[in-house]
Amino acid sequence: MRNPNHPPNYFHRFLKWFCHPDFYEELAGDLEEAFEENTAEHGTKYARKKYRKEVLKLFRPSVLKEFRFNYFTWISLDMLKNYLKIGFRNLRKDKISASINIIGLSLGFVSALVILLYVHRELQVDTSFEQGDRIYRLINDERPHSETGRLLATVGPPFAPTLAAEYPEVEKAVRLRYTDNVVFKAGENQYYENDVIYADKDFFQLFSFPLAKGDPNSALAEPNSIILTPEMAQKYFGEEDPIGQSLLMNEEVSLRVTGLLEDSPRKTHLNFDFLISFETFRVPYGYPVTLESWGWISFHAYVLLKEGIDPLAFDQKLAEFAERYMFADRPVRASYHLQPLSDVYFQSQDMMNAGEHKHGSLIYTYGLLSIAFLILLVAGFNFMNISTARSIRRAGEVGMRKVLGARKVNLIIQFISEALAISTISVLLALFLFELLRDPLFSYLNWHIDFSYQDYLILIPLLIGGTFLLGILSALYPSILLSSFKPLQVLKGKIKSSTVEMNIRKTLVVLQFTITIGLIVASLLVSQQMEFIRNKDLGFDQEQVISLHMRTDNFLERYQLSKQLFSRHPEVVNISAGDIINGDYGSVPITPAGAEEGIAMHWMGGYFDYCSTLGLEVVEGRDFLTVHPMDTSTGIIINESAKRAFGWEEAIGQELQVNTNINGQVVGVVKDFHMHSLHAAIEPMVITVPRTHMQNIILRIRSAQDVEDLLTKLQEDWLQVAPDLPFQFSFLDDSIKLQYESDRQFSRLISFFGGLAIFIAGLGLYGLIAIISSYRVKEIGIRKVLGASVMNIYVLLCRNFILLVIIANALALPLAWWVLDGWLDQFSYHTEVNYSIFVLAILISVGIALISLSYQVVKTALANPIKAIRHE
Amino acid sequence: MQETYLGEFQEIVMLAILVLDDNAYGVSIQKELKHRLNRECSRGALHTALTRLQEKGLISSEMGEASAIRGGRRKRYYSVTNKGKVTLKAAKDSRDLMWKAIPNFSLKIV
Repeated sequence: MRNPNHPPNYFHRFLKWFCHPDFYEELAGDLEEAFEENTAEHGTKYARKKYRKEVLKLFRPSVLKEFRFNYFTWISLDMLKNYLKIGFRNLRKDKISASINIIGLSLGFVSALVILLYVHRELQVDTSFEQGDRIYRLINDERPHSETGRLLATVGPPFAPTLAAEYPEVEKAVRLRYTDNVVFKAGENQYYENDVIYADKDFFQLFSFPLAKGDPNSALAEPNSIILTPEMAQKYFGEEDPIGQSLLMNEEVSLRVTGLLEDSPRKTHLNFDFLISFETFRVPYGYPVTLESWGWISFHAYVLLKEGIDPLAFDQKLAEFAERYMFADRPVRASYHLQPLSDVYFQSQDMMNAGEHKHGSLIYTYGLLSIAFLILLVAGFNFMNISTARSIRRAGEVGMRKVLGARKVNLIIQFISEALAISTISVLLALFLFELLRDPLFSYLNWHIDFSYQDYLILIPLLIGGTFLLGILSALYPSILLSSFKPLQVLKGKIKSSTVEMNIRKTLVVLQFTITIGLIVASLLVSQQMEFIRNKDLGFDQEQVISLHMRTDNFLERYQLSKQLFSRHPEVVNISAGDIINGDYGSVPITPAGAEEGIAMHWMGGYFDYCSTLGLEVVEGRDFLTVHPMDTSTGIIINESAKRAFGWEEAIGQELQVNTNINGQVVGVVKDFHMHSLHAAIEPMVITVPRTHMQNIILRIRSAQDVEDLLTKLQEDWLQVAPDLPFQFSFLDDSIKLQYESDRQFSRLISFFGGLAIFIAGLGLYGLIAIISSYRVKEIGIRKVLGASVMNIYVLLCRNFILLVIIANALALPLAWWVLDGWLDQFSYHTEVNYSIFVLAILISVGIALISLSYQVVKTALANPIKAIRHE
Repeated sequence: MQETYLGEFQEIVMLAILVLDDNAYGVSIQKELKHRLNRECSRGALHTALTRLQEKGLISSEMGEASAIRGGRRKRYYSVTNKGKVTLKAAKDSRDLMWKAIPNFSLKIV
């Protein structure tokens, strides 16, 4: 150092960079002279400040060197050709590294592609309606007003029409009523259908689904009109034109087909196969309500606000509106809000009655996106690591190029273009793999994506961007490293890996394994939770229960007949009727005798022998029994939670009023059981014999019987019971599994992509050790000659990597625990995060690392030392 | 000769070079302007002026010897060419002419 008080380094380098070489010497000299004088006169601080100012003021056209011409020559087509040629030669020369890079990157791209496709579709839901940004759903929030208040996605039937009539801000309003278990019949074709919506006539003005046939403005105007999806038209009418045909609903109402939807994917939360005009809707038998009941909160209502209306301001007016209409005849208070259409799909999980339409999960969607990103990261790190480790092999080339006049920039461009070539090859391979794997993969993941090539088109810019970004980012560091080799040292053969380089390599390995271990822990924990769900005692016996759907006006009559017929079969243990699990969430006030106000509880309907058939454990009192015929009018069974909620010492014989029309006594108490999925906590519940028509016959059968055979016999009996209705059965355990479909999908996804990440990281380690051990061949040879055993060599080569993997464990485990604990919290009942998972994750990660390392290490360790030493 | 335009700053720089005789280089010119006229100028501004003057052929320059104090870098010394001297003279003459034409007392600052 010539002077401890030297001029600011970066400014000097900046000057050197931009200054025309003709002037550099005199200008730099002058500035330095002035700097030294200033230092003597005013001190270093002043001098440095002055120097910086002077340098900046020198940045002017008369001083600058000629840039443009130079930059232009850095990228020339001929040189690019040369780069690629040399690049491909290098790929061929080192096939292991090349294939690891390419395989790793393509697997990364395939996962990214699959995930992006999925996420893209999820995010597209409800975005295609012309006026979608002005559509809002009305929601009903009782929570601010009562402790047991609910948040509902629905309102009463008069709400939307009245709102539209009174407020000019509302352009259109539409009510929807979801209905399941509907029997449709057209000629010989008769089926139960679940995705049926009654919709007001302006439906298509809000939800602009294109119609292939029919007039969207009038198709739902008349009573007894129905619109079909193309699939359903095919199912009921085959190739015939469905328009004008009639469809018999529930053996009584004849509907005329007035419209046919276009055969295009419907990306919407609305879950329907059939749209029936709202005018057709009749209040079901036994319901103590009318279409004018504000308190019948079971109707989804959507409004289209006029252009320019501020939804927040309008939201305020709903309170006043509700005050005027709702609370006159209803004691339960609630707040009403507008939910933007764009939130409906992703943000309705906590709402009651929202289960009728489709849902997305933001956690799963963004979780998947991050997994895609992490896998690409792991693959990119492989690329960086292998390139830097190999850099020494290419030092000679770099030195030679530099001697022949290549600049640093030329070399950086060279290596980046090589990397781009590799990532382009990988993307092409990924597209090929994707085509190959798409169908098996999607069926494994249980994704029903009707895939169109339009989706590809949308992904293409992303894909190209990704290729470039990944190529450039992963090549940037290796190329800067390679290009900064000093030609003289290189040509003398004095180049060695620097410590910085080693540290970066180690950091990347640690990061890779941190990600991988995180994914391992996640997949272990998620599958443990799935196992927990499978084995959790739900409080009833879900095995061997069959339910038969029967929707008819004379249910009880037919039920008695079927009971006689079915009980002939020795396999059938018990027969009852009523709601199957998760059946009803009717929320009516349940009022104990003497109390003024009711408590909102779950309400299920069941017939004689209900508890014994479902396997609910009766802890006090008894089941509904035929020997107590009064049970059908006054019998009530409650669960333990309800008993606690009422604060009863003795439950049997207590008087209860359910809704306003059932007055009865508690005859039994059942042990708490999970009537909903384990996401939700067990809540107070009552069971009564319903006043409405029941819809399910429930059978408990003897285990280990030939179920197929029994079903055939039941179907024969069915012809006597209900020849006019389709024979439709389901197993209770299957229905229960359906509740966890999205969780199981997530579980499959995370184990699949977790496995992929492990594979890619293992691949990277394999490539890295191959290169590193080849550098140390001579050292190992000498060690062996001096008496090192194979084991010594093995430990020597593996030690560092295993250490890195252990560090990665230390980083990943707390992080994974923290993230996954949040995921578990969405289940009210969940497995505990216990240390065995962490031990397993450590074992797996170290195991994978050892497997990846061992082949090369053993090969190197076993090699004849003579060959190694003779290397030169 | 009159068509060679001389900016005011360029004129001063040339005069400074003449004052400094055979020791006229970047730093010394800057200092000269500072001491005599109390005029700060950046090295960049000076560089531009010097380049222009050299392009017009009014000054010439050559590199000097390396010296230890400037990080071993050489200085570029400037001198005024004959053409430059003629131009300076012409500038002065034209000004004097104008000065002489001013009536007495009108310089009194009012």
